[in-house]
Amino acid sequence: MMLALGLSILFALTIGIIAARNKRAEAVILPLLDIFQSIPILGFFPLVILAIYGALPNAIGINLAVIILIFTSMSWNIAFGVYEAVKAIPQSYVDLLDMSNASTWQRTKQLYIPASMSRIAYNTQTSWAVGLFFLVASEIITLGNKSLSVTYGIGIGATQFFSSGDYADYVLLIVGLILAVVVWRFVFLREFALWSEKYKMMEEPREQHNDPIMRFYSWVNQRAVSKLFLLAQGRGVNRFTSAISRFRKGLKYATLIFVAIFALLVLETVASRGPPGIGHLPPTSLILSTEASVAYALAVSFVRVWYVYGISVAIGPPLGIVISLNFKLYDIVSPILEVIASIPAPILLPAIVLIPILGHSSEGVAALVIMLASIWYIIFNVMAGVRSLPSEIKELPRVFGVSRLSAWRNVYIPGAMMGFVTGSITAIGGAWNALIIAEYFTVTNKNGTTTLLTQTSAGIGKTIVLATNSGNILTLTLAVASMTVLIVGFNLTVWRRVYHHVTKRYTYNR
Amino acid sequence: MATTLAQLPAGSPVVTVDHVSLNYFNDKEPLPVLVDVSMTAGKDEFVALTGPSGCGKSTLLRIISGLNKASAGTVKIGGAEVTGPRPEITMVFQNFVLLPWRTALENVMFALSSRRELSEAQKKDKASKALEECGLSGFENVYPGELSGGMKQRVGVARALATEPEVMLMDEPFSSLDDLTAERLRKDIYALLINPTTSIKTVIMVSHNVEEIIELADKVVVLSSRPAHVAGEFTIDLPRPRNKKSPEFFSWVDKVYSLLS
Amino acid sequence: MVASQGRPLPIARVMPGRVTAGQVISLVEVTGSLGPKVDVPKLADELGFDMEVLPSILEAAEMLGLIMNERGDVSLTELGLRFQKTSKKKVMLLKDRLAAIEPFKTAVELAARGKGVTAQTIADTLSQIGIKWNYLPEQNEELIRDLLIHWTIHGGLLKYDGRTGRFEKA
Ligand SMILES: Nc1ncnc2c1ncn2[C@@H]1O[C@H](COP(=O)(O)OP(=O)(O)OP(=O)(O)O)[C@@H](O)[C@H]1O
Ligand SMILES: [Mg+2]
Repeated sequence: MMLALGLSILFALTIGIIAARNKRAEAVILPLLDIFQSIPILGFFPLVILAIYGALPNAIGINLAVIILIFTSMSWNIAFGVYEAVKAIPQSYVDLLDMSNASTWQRTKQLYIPASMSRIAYNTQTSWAVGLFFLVASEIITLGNKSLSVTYGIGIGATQFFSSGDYADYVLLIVGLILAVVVWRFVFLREFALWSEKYKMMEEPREQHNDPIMRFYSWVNQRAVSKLFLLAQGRGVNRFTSAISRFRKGLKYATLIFVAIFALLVLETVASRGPPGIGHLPPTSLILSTEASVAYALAVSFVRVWYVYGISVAIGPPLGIVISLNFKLYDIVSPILEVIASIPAPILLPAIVLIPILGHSSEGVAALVIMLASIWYIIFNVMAGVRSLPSEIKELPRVFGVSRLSAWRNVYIPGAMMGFVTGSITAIGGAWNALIIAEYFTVTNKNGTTTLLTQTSAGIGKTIVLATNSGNILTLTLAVASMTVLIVGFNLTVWRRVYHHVTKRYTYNR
Repeated sequence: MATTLAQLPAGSPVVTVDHVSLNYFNDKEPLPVLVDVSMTAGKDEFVALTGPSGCGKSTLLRIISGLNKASAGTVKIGGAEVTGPRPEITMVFQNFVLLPWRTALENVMFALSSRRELSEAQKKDKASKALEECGLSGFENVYPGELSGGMKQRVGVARALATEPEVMLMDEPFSSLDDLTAERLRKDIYALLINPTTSIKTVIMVSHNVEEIIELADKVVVLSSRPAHVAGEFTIDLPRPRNKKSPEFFSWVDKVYSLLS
Repeated sequence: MVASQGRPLPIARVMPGRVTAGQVISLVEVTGSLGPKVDVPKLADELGFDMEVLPSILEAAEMLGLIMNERGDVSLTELGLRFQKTSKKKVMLLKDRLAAIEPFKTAVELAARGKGVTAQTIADTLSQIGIKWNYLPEQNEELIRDLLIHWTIHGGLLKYDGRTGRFEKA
């Protein structure tokens, strides 16, 4: 995990700096980051595993795949941070270095890296949570296929303890994980974040300044999402994007095609070298019939993601608003929520299955897991949104003595809107990723016997896992590709519009 | 509403600030901001409140409005003690504080939403009338983000007027506008506030701009630097309309300046 | 501020961007109060405008028929005098004048055709005949919207609804 994080930071620095300092590279890298950030990376994981396993059929291969996945999941976000930070360096600093004839390396060391430090710190916080989720999920996924499993890891430990009946150990492990998360998040990352403050070049609003935890979700996500729609009219963003935005729009579609071709290439490689030994591309009729079943599964999952999102919307925003309007409540509740939010849902899944009301309904289990993997984004972004409203606006209902209903309708809900939409976009992304463990989940005990804990009747996550286990490359590829197209397409059409509307109307800049 | 205020003879106190002190708490350390401040604002009086920056002017205004509680002392409106925001007091803010997601009309109607006795149509009517008085007819369905600074503040004033207040509090209402805009708005607003048809009995305005104060105010209260007490209080008896170039005007400006520095 | 390199200069008169009614009103007031003729440096001093913004305000006021500017000597026209004396809804006096100036002219024409027109359509139509205020399309559109909101509502030419972003016949 640390290795992957280190790699991610390094990669992000390189990519971010290059993109920020080189116009041509920028035009290529930004849309790429954009795409990678919005696709369900977990879906690609089985493909990557099979590909790497094809080349390196041993434990090293699998571990490598896991590292690649985590690395991938963490990098984009950090890379965006670096890009923005370097791009935002005041021209006078650059001029200064120009005059002193500094070499590229010196520039990087003296200016670019220090300037990126604080962004890296904050973005790492998000990436860490995401990475942990992927770590656990990937370890668990590999279990499904005995020949493809990682030998040791938290995810494995948890499910093994559980399936072997060592509940005490299971609970212990979760407690341990929580402790680790607490230590990591509140001591190390926070220190890192505070330490990096001194590298800041520009003053930031004080209110946010004091609240590093909140920025974990708000600031980072705000940026990440506004980057997701490069054409967004957000402040700051405009400056970098407007000139080349149209060019980039075309590029975005081009990149989509590129990703599709990439997927086909993986298919080819795996098909020719992979263990199951499919010789060539399968006949068209087979592709079509497979695609039909994939499409059905996708539709089922789509509905699932959206009704879970609906439930999250009913719970998240009101909760977030109530908490952030009350200072005392906020101080107490937000760290607790933080900790809960950072326990990866997959680890809890075995315990969720035991919850009596859900026990017999695999649908209920899936819904809960999806929700646990996504609702936090909504809650935290709403909280950040409400807290960043000027205090005078929040006081307005008192000044004019308006009713609570009117205060919510006119002030709090619209004030939370921006955070809500930003959070929703991220949350839905999280939900798609969670499908892969929520819809089909097996555990293996110490003796190596595998039991199926839960499975839904249909769903794209289940399709992917089953296809991975049975080595059905065709289904796997089609499933991943279809899911990607659906998600990216949805982002580009629906979410982008919503996002535009909301940034135009619901941001507070007087 | 407090109809008793209407029966008060001119000049008798409408707002009474009586030995008010306030401490803020920063990291448990009390930070004294106001120390034993007393002042009054009479009927049909325009009172200006000034003092060095950070001395506690806004804080005092907030205590008068009922938004903040004094650590000691009382504030009375008419005869009633202020314990929280009251419908007969209203506020205009330095940075407008409009809801960006509501149109000009909706922003004004928002201030009326506590008035249960009014129907939706009546609220709308009152709100459009307030906008019109402030020179914004035709701008009902425009969002604050599409308005210039001066127009935004006009919406802020319309919102305050629509509630038919008796006491109007303004915290540096012109200081975020450019000189010309501020100048025009000052004239318009003064004409609106000091006008026999309005419900307003008393205005208290915080300002840093001494010329603005001498132009508008009947009385000026100067606070000392923090912790603030009253450093001086003058009744400005210049006839209106006041000539900003007259020597009397300048001597008043000098008088207040000398207390400020 | 017409970016029209390579094209014939448009015949239409074009409102300078960012000139507000307030500035024009102040200009007329000061000119009127300082006497029949005032020179530009004195105006700049009196109004507190720097020499960068004053020329476009003068240009706008002249275009609206409120002042005459003879080699730096500014005086009020008849309309200017009337404008100065009117206390309420001054800008209404300029209705017809405004309707002859871009972007108001095009906006009024387009709005007369049907159920309202957005600033984007107006901006597109105008840039086709070489009239724009800003090189960047989004900023140009925004500037046109500001100009229209600012002048046409006060002038009684158009109505605007922020919820639809459309300008309609008043
Ligand atoms: N909520 C608060 N908690 C702690 N201290 C505060 C709070 N609000 C204001 N202060 C402090 O109290 C003092 C007075 O603040 P206030 O805003 O009333 O001053 P002011 O005279 O209005 O200043 P300005 O001229 O800048 O408007 C300042 O030093 C300020 O830092
Ligand atoms: Mg203040």
